[in-house]
Amino acid sequence: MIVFQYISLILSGILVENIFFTRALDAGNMIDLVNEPRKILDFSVTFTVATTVSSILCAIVDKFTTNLEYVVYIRPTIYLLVISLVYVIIYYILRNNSKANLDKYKNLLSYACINSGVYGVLFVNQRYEHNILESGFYGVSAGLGMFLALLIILSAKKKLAYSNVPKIMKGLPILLIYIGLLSLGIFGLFGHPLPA
Amino acid sequence: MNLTQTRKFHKLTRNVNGMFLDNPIIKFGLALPFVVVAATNLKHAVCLSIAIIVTIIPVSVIAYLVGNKIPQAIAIAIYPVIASILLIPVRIGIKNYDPVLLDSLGMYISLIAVSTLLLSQIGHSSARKRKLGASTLRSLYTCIGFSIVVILVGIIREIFAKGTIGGLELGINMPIYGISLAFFGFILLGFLMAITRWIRRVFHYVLINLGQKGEDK
Repeated sequence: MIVFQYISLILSGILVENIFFTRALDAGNMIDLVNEPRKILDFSVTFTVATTVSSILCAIVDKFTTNLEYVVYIRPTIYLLVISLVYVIIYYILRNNSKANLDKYKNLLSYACINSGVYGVLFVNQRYEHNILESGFYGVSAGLGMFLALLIILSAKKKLAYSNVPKIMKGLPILLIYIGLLSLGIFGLFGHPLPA
Repeated sequence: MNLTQTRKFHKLTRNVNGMFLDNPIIKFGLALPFVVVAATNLKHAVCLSIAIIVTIIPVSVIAYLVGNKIPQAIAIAIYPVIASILLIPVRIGIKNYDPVLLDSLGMYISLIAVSTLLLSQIGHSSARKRKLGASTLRSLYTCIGFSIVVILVGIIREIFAKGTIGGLELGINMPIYGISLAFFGFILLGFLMAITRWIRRVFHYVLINLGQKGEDK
């Protein structure tokens, strides 16, 4: 039974509660970044590593800080410290392994690790009271969900570029309307507003 | 309006443009989660505006003063933490004003610390292309631009979703609940962007026509 619970958690992260379509997390960065499949893959892998590791670390931190007074005010800062730590560790691993790779992925790394997507996943874990394992699974599924969202946006961008839409709607406006309609479709899957 | 006047006009409106026609949210799609999901009513919009002003301006000043002394790769991890610390009093203030409000804003009040708007302002400030005063003023105009969009979206969504403005009943008997959901935020912002583009085009058309008339005289 527990296997089904984790499958449900992964499906929820990828489709039903896709962080891009249902919570607009990291929507600003993504729309700019999406222009080629290779970049999407690199970004998604880094994003998934960041969400998974940060989720596990924050679940551990939450265990020790839940009973603290005023934790509700300082928790976001603690989460951000964890994300920053994960980013710095990945940065130094990349720097020590290959200088050429670091130069190539430096910008992508900062975009993929420090953004509202990674930060938001930690709050979702906390809101749903996920344990350490569930947090890790949700981190992976959020990364996969982001990969799916990026592929959809790439395909939408290509199709809309050759569509006959009014000039003032070309580019970002029509893309946002397209994303809105997709989001409306996904809303049908869960049928109620998500907690902020 | 001849070329000199046009230049003067552009010089005068260069900074203010960030608030209206060249608004970073409307033009570049920055800080989308706040406009799309969190701005569902006037109270939320005002809270987000205050939080963004409290965060962006001090962080921009710090980024300007520090400049490029810290490597950029490390700086990108430090500034959001500073912003998050600055948000602690904002969270306490909102909780004291209305505990339900902080709960309904949820993660979005904290997400300001990693918003694209903040990160782009940090980039501009640490590059030190302008003087400190001008750089701070630019950050302020950006914050006001954000507030205008977020409040506009908040008011529109509150009127149609609940039939109220800031909690005051307007007597609308057919509220459309779906308007406060994320999908409508995307669609509304898409249309707002298109309308702003249309206004910008009309504005430029009028300017060119005025310029031609001036040259004819």
